[in-house]
Amino acid sequence: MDWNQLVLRMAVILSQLLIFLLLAPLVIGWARKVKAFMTNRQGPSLWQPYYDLAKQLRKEVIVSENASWIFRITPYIVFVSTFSVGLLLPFFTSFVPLFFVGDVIAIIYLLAIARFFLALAGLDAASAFGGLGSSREMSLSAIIEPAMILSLFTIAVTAHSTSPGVIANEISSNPNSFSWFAPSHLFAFIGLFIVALAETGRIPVDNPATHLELTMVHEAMTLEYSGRYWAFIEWAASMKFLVFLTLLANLFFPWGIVPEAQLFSPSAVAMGFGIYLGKILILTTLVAFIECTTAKLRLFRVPDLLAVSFVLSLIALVLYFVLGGRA
Amino acid sequence: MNIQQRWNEVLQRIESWAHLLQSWLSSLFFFLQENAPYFLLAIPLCTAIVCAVIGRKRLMEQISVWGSALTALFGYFLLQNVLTTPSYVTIQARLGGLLYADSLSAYLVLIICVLGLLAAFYSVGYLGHEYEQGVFGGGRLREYYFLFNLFIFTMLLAALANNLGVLWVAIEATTLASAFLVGFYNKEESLEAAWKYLIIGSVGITFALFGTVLVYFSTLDLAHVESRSLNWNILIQPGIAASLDAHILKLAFIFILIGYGTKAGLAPMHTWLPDAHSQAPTPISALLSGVLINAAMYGILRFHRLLSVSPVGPEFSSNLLLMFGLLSVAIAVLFIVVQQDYKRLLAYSSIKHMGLIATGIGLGTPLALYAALLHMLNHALAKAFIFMGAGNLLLKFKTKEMARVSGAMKVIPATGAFLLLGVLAITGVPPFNLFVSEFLILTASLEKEWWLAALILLLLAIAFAGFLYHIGQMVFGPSKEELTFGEANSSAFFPLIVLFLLILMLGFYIPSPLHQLIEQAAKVVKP
Amino acid sequence: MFSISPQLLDQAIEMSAAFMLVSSFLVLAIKRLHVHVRLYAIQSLFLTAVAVCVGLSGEKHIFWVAALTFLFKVIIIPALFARLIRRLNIQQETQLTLNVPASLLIAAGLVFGADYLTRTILTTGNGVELSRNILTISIAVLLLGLFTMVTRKKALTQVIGFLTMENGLFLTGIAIAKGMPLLVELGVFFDVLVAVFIMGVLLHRINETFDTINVEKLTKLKG
Repeated sequence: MDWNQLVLRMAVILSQLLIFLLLAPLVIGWARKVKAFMTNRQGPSLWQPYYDLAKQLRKEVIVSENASWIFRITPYIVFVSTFSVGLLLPFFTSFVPLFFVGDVIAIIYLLAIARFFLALAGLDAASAFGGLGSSREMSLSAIIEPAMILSLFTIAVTAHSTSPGVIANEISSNPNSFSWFAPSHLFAFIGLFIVALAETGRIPVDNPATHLELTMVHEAMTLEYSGRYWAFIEWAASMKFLVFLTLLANLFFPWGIVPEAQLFSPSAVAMGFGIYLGKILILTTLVAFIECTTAKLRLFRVPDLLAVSFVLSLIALVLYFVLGGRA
Repeated sequence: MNIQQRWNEVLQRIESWAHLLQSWLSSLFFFLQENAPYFLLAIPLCTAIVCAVIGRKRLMEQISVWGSALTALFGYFLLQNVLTTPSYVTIQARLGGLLYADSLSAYLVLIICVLGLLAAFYSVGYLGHEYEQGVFGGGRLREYYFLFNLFIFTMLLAALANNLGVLWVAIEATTLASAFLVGFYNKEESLEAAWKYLIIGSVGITFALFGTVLVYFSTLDLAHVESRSLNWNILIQPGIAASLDAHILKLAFIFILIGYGTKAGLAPMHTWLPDAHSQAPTPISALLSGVLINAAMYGILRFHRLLSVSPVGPEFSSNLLLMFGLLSVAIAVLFIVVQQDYKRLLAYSSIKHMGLIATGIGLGTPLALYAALLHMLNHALAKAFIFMGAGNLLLKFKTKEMARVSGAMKVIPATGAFLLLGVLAITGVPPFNLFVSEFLILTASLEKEWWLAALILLLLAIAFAGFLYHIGQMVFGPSKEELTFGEANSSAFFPLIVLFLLILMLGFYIPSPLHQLIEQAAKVVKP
Repeated sequence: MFSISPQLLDQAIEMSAAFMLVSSFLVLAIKRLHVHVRLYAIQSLFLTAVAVCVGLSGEKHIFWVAALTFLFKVIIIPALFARLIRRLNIQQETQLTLNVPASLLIAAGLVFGADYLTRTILTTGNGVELSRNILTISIAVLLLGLFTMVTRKKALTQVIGFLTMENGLFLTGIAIAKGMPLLVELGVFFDVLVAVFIMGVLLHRINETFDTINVEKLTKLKG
């Protein structure tokens, strides 16, 4: 390979990682802004999440007496595992940096590691809220995981591969321009969307802005954290949100994504990034809209919602086969 | 001479008038005969509307009875027409192919008209008595007579329909017309029965519509645009029937059998029948048991014929009918033994007889088909007979539970006697008519498999024992002191006696026009 | 008239049919009564879309059917239901005999069953491949309507289930059989309307007598 090309490739990879890191809080800020706008408020500034992170990174860390090493190590594990997902996803190009390391299954497991340690940390501080949050999170994840896997597998079956980059390429380069209008795609999208809401703790599954014990799940697990630990965990949460939005955008509507061949033309890359940003912001607006218009479900109703997601993905799979193997 | 001339003139004038009158009458007669189907449909409809408009009890009763009599008259004309036309098919494709009458239709029309007239007559006494007792209020009578005549209209439409879609519309309309009749008393049980009837009936009907649509779909492949129709007389033509798709027709027949079979009371779709037939007012129960389930079976027969002449062949539908028929008989007999409500007992007996009819059709030999069709008429007459007797019992004892009724013979001896005779009739004891048709069905089943006949005989014997036990408990035994001697509804005896004479006569002798009619109708089902 | 590619029309028909299937699922998933009525209206809207697409592909008389479907099923019948719900003054949620996830899974099983049925019965291509797919979806909607009637205890939801069955049937009638003779279609519409009306009146009487429309209370007649 050409020395130039190698350098350019590294540059693209690094820029992808940087974008992943730096875009995440912006997406959270945008969601909050939209919610405020819909409730007739001005709301916090768009860059407020950045200010919060910067502030907390400088602050002192207070650790409970009862906490063990798990408490201290969890923020780093959560941050690193979520961050490494960024190397497995296509963002604005279909070139995935570590495509030979893993596919959607690896993504699911990396996110699962993060969740596992977060649940342990919630228990570790020996506070009631932490245990409450952990138990809720684990029971919810038991139902979310199958739905998530089925949605992702449905789209993988239609593209004959489980690697997200390949999927994005398959769909965007398909000459039959109406293939995206297929029923199975839309149902899998709805299924994965519901899973995304559940995984990232948005309404109607969990309220990201609450601190009432009746309604906390994610917030309860992270209640004991302060200072830079809190910053890492919140950053990881916003990166997880961005991961799901990217999955939704690039697996189901991957047009405008820069194929590997055009990786080195700056204009194509710039346009690809612009389209990607646009898609993310539209999806964030959709999530915020749903958060504003739906009420949070009671905990034992959440399985109903996820059953809908599961069955929608199942139907998508059936429809794919019933409707003659056409996506 | 003047007087002589004038007398001749007068005579001549009278003669010419007489000729004129005669020709006028005969052309009128001919006109009525030719257009009997239109009149058959128009009269009940008009009667219904008139009853709805006029609310007065006496007027409505008179109009209903006379209307039913007029309908029966036109039914007779239709019969005449069908029997005297050389190919026994008449009035082909009137109204743009929507109406049609052959011997099978005429047979069903005969059953509907006879029972309609008798039920109308019985209603007068029965409902009049309940109205005087205050069981229901004033406006309900108007609702009853309106729906009653509308119900007759829809069943006649089903009998005369050519287009399979119109057949469906008519049978669905029978469900809708009779829904409120079933829930007439507005009590908890009546409403429950009406709801079950409506829902299960509608579900069944939806399945039947799906089957009809599939039949239409199978005609779309045909080359000629005119033959892509739902008209029965076009579909069974050999050239067209033989080129329909076998797979689609099989799927269609399954849906049709489940759909119309629900309305006909075939198990396992029969669960609405005991409730509906027991909760409805007695004349309506008689009509539902005697006529409506026959009309639904008529629908199945039309499709059975279509499948026989198509590439599917007669075995598929015959086997299905045989299976459902035997299942119905078995389940009905089981429930007859453990019954506690006598109207439900009679309803299960209807299911049993419907099962027998389905078995007869399923056996497929000409003898079996003849017997099954004869059974339709016989069962209708006998069931109406025993229902009317039970109605009198209900009016007197005011309860449907068999445990609370006893000593009917002491209090209402005439009804008690009729009930006993009715039980013998309905369980197929000679010399009543049901014995003849059941015997013929058993003979036909012996030709096929001997164990079939043995099984049916066993089930019929169990039913006989159960019936005799239950009714015997009610008729004999001590009576309660507070009941006065005397019938509640004396005008009911006219239809009861007529029916008794009919079922007795048919046990010995089948009039030759009737025999001809049934023979031709059997040929319609299987040429 | 501008010509639309038949492929696009076929795709649109499949999409609308698929959305009809999803609305049947959602009726099973959601417990609120007025949402059921709205889902029925949405399902009928997609049925109208199918009719319009079939009409655009050449069969002009289907446009009448589309107009009738829109008038009756999207506007009149849901309005009747809304009025009925207001007047019945009942609890807004339906009770279930099976919980939601189990019903949804069984419903998915019914869709598989419908597919198996059409695969074995319609072995011949018999014209268009579209036919088998749409037939599967319409049998599935039929079975899901039946399932709704069986497992939901509010009488109103049972009526919605019945109407869903009719919708599935109409899907076959329109998309596959290209509509039946117009007179028959009219008769069927009229019948359905009268059936809904009668069910409404009966529901009213049931509500007055039993003080509920929970069909679990209608169990006096047994044996």
